[in-house]
Amino acid sequence: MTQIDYKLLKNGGFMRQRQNDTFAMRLRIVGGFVTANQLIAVADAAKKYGDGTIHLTARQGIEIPHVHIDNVDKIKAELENNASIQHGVCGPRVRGVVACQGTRVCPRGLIDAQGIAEKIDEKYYANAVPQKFKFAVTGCPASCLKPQENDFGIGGGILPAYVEEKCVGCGLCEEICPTDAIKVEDGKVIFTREECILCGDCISSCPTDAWEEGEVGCTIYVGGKVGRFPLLGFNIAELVKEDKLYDLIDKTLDFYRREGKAGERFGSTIQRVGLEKLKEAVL
Amino acid sequence: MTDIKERIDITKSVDTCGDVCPMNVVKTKFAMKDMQVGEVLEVILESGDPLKNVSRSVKEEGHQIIEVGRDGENFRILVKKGR
Repeated sequence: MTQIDYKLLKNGGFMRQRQNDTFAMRLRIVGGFVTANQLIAVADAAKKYGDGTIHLTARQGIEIPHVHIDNVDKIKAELENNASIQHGVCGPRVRGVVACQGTRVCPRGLIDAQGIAEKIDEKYYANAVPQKFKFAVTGCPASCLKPQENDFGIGGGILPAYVEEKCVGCGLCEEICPTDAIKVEDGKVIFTREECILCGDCISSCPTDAWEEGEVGCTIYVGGKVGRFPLLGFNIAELVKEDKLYDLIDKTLDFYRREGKAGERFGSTIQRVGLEKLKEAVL
Repeated sequence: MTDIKERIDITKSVDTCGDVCPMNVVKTKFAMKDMQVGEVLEVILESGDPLKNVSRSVKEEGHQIIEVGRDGENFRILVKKGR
């Protein structure tokens, strides 16, 4: 019998199980999006090569457990050919990208979270880095996809613009604003940019459209993680336009490869070398 | 914050206090259903999410909030049916 190369299998998204010679196959899913036909192909593969069960992962992914070592190549080929689904990755690489449905579906979405996730997957998936590296893309400050818990988190944001002529001073925006960004005093509106979390609630609720879209872009969080030593990501930039986003990601990954120690999560690298140094290098 | 003016003819009134989202939105929508364009609905609602969600919803539906006022701890908004 040939020696099983566990490391190679793991890098290719096959994780050893408790049961001998049996692996859970991780699939490459972007933003939790699969077509119904792909799902059928996955179900067929799970019945044919697994034990007929599927595991939905914490990162919007799919794993097919109980695949015997002898069937690894077959299930890979079958999913690739029948459903255009590739195997996933483990280890010190860029992992599956999670995303909400953003502007494609959600009424509150401010950015095309799925589209950005697809581009990130295309450009960076499985790229080697010092330790696992996770991206999350979320459409608005509600942060359903938890960008603050990821090595690189992206969240849509909108800066309101005030149109004084349209304002009747009703005070609804002050009441609705979740922070102290808007104050109405004697019918006059006072806006404090530093307090604004870019949610756009003032825009969507203003009865007279006195708040309108000023600027839309991405809020960037870096260094977030959970695991044994949880850390919320640092907000390093706001209202970043999509055409600048990938340059920022390139520089961030370069920085991590340059400064990070093998096995060190990005958040720990930032804590060790300093957030300012990262900002200098990427912004 | 302006006071609700007596001069506005209120066609109907709905109190959503104590309702859980999205019931306050649904109640408001339902009350608007058999009203005529131009008629005014008074909605009593709690601050926070109810105020935000109902205001946003009536705007999205094409109606207009013509008055916002306090009603003790709660809010009263007057919504003019737009379509």
